[in-house]
Order: sequence, then C-alpha cells, then structure tokens
Amino acid sequence: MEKVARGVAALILLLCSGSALAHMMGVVYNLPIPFWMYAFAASAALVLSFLVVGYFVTAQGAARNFRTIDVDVRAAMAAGATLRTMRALSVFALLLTILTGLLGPANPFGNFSVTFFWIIFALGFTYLTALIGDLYALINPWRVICDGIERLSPGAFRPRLRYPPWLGYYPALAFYMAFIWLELFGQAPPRTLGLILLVYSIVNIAGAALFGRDAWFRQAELFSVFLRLIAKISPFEYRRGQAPGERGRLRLRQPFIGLLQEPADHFSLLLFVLFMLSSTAFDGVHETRPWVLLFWKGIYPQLTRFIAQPYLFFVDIYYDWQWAMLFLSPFLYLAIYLLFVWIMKIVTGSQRSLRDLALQFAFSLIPIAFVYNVTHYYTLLVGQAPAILTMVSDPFGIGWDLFGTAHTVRAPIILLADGVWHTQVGLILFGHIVSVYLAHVQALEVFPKGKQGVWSQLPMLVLMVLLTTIGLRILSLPIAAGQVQDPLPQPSSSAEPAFALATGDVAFAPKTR
Amino acid sequence: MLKPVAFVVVSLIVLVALWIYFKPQFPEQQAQDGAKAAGVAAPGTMGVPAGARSAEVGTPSVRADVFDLTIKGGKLRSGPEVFQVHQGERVTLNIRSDSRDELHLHGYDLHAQLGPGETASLQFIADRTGRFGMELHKAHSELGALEVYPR
Repeated sequence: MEKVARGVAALILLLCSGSALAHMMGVVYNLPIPFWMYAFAASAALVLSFLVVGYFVTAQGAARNFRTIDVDVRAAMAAGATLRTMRALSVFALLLTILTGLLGPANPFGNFSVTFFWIIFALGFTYLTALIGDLYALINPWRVICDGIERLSPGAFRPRLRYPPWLGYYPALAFYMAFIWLELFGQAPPRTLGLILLVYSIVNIAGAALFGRDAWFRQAELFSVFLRLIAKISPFEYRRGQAPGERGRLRLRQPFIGLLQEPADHFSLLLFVLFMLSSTAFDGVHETRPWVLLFWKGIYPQLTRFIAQPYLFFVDIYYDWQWAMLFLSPFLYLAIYLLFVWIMKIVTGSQRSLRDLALQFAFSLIPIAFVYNVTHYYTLLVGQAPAILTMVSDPFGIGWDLFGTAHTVRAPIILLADGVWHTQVGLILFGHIVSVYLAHVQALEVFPKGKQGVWSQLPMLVLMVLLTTIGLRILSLPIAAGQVQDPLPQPSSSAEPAFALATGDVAFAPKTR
Repeated sequence: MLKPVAFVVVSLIVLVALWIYFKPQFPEQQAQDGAKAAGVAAPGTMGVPAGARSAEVGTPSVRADVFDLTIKGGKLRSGPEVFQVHQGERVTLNIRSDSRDELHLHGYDLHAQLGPGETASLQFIADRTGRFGMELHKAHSELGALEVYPR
C-alpha cells in the first residue's frame, strides 16, 4: 500500500507548485476540548451505555418491529424531470471541478475546484446524504456519463469480465485510502486535484466498461460505497422499480434503522467501515503533541542509535511512519474489533463463525464513525463553505461575475470554541448511544435465546465505550506546534544532532517531500 | 410507550448530574490545565520570561498578555511555541528576527514585517476563540500557535 502512496506522492511532487496548506480541506481552528469535558463525556458514555442495557434487559419481545411507510413518488418527483435536471447538474459540476482545477487560479483557497470538492462535496454532500438518503446513487456523475455513452453506443457497458467475488469492496477501500492520504498529506494544488479527478473519471468509465456498470458502481467506486453506507442513517430510502415500467418508490423509516436492514456482505466492507473510524481518528491524532513527540522523543532516539544518517533522513522516515500508521490503522481497529467479537462468540457459545458475527455487527459502528467525522469537520464546512458563493461567480478566475457575488470577499466564519466543544461532545455521545442501541437490536436478532442476546452485548458495549473514549481523548489532546520537532532541547553532550542547530532551515523542513 | 420516555428522562438526569459533577468551578482553569498537559506557556503560569506579563492595561477586566519571541534562521529560538490566552484579553507579541520575513497570524489575519535588528510588534484584542497558527511566509515555517480560550 505504501508503494502505491509513494507512486501517488511522486506524481504529486512532479506537479506540485510548492504551496503550503495545512490540510487539504482548509485550516482548522478548533481548540482541544478541556480535560473535564472529556472526563464528563467518557463517563456519560459509560453510564448511558448501561442504561441502554437496562432498557433492553427489561424489554419484552422483539424490538425489531420498525415501521416503514412507502410513498408513491409519482407526484413528488414530477415524473423524473427533477431527476434528469439533477443528473445534468451533477455531470456539469464534475466537469466544472475538473476544468477549474486544471485551468483556474493556482491559489488553492481561490480555486473553485478545491473548495467544491473537499468542502461542498466531501463534507457537505456527505452530511446531506445522512439527512436525505442516497441521492448520489441516482445522480452519480460517472454513472450518468456511462449511461449517456451506453445510449449512444448500446452495449458499450455489457460486462466483459465477471466482477471477481473475492475483490469485493477492496477497490473502493483502496480509493478511500488514497483519498484520505491526499487529504492529509497530499498538499495537492488545484492542478493536481483536477488531474486526479480526470484520472479517476477515466478509471471509473474503464472499470464500468470492464465489469459492467452495476458491479463497478456497487462495489468499486469510492463515493458510491461510502455514501450508500452513510445514507443508511437517513430516514429516506429510494427504491427503484423492480419490473420495467414500475415506478420507483420512496420509503420512510426511522433514522439509523437502515443500518439494520442487512449485514455487511463482504469482509472488505467491514474494513471499509473500520477505516471510516480509524482514518478520522488518525486525522485527529496525527498532529497532536503526544503523537508527534512519540516519534521524535520515543522512536527517533532509538533509530539514531542504529542508523547513522543526517537529520533530514529521519524527517523522511517520519513521514513514512505517519503514512504507514494511516494505512495500518484499519487493521489495528480490525484486530481490536475481532477480539471483542471473538469474546462475544465465546460468551454466547454461538455456532456462527467469527467472520459471520463480525459482518453482522459491522454497520452498528457507523453512527460512531459518522458523528466522529462530523465533530472533526463541521467547523470546516461552516467556515469554508460560504466562500463557494464568491468563487461560483468567477470559477476560472478570469474576471467573470456571473451572479454578482465575485467581489464579496468573505472572511472564514470562526465558531466560538465553547460552542464547538459542546456540539462535539453532544454529537459523540449521541452517536455512541445510537451505536449501542443498534448493536443490541442486532444481538436480539443474531442470538435469539432470551436474555442471552442482551448480555452477549457486554463485549460490544466495552468496545464501543473504548472507541468513543479514544475519540474523545483525541479531541482533548493538545496540538503540536510543528510536525517536525527539533529533537535538540535536551542539553545532552552528544555531538551528533549538532548539525541540526548549525543550519536553522534544516530543523523545519517543508512538509512536502 | 412509557418506557422510552422514562429512558430519556433518566438519561437526561444522569447527564445533568455528571455535568454538574465534572464542570470546574473556575473556568479559568480550562486553558491552564491544557497548558500543564502540553508543557506550553500560558500567561502567568510558566514558560513566559520574567516580567513578560505586564499588569492590567485599560479597564481592570482586560488582562494584557505580552510575549517576546526571538527568531533565528526562520526558527523560533526563544519564547513559547503556543500562547494561551483568554478571550477578550489584550495580546502583544514582540518579535525579533535575524532576517527579513513576514509573520502571519491566521484567523486574525494579522501580518508583521520582520527585519534584522528590529523588534516588530503585534497588538490586538483576542476576541475570537480558537487555535490560530502563526507562520513565517519566507521561511515557510510554522512558528507556533495562539490559543484563545473562552472565558
């Protein structure tokens, strides 16, 4: 995986104009939450979890009688005209993002593509999906383009190869890892972003031509998989007509219940869900002081003992280490998750396989992952999204003023820190409770033997409290002043690090390599 | 139907009780707890050179925080990396640099021109809460950050 990342990095370096950006999505102004708030939230998560257990211990009968209401969408959707418009807009937005990336202003903060892709789409549309459901499945621009090509030359997308079952969602997971890497370490200027989206478009069309549209957009395309999982949170579900000529239906359900409709259907999807969790956790932790010092105070002195190399060499190693941690993080979470599922299997004496149980409970982690994502990024969305109003009037930076908003300069909105803290803690507690609840309902289904279902959930409960506590702790950690720490301050007499002092510019190496 | 309601009520009571139990009586401590954990400078606690923090300026409710920084070769040589202040306080940064550069404080969007032998000074009221990075434009280095905590 790291080789791939190195390849991507090489590509980016080749194209990089050398602009420094703290985070692809913009600058985060969040303060770490106060320790007492962390202590409060962690204890609250624990106590509320046991309240949920208590609730279920006394529950009678199946808790699964969720109601759904089907709505005929004939009237609401204006017979597909709305949908056609949205599909056209979706393709237009993709093309505009690619073109403004390639041709627009070089300054990432002034370029339409950067704000639109990272803020409006990657954050805003994700949260919208949690509210309104899987609209993306209907208007996926790459799928719309494929459908258009199919109409022009029928048979262009008949599957040439059978999508191998073992491949599962691994392509989507690989794209997801590349996406997060790009966000955290890519420092991709607009040109690179435009190019990456262009390449990704070609890959999607080629993939759909090879394996057929349904297989490709169900399992391999990153945003299809990601947003389909997020949409399970939403109270709305769109159902395509089964028979030809039958109209699609809109189904109403309780929020989050969609997560119980089906288990994860492939091991790779479990890894995908775990990466949703671990990548956000990694993003939270990778710039905190304890984490950065772990390398520079813990690992670096050990390394220097064995490897006689200049300081800059270790700056490279530092980034290798950060990247390796990012790509290993889902597997670390997998090990922890499987451990607790295994304990659950022992406790219940279930005949089901470990793999089957792990897949059954995978989606119950999504609320924790989702609220964790929101707590990390919602300030960015609020702060940076309004800038799109300025850029949309002049997306190419050539003096247009399409909507009369090109010259309204907006300072980023900075939310009050204590408001942010309260929202973060509240959201995390909420997501935690929902996850615990879902896991219990699932347990009653998977282990139907009376109360056993409830107590089987103790391992899962401990796991979820652990995940939530880790998440909260990360939010409360102080942030490092710089990624590359000067390992000097200890006034040791060892001569080797002296070169770092001699040339001041060495100690603060640029973040890109 | 009664049970979910009871559940929500009990949950809320638990939350409020825990909140009251954990909330510190003196919110002043928020920043300084963090400071101790991080080993960074909060005014009046540690790390600030003697005499760096002046007495009150203007109205008695406005505290003034003065920080002195020395930059050599695009790198912080003395002074704290992270300044912690409280919202509404008057902040003064005195910066000495051995080379010509521009210091940029994000969020507040303040710039200071630095030159050898000069002491540049940034003065402002910390009215926005959050964590704001400080960078040197020419050296492309991150100097540190200003952390403004709510009152």
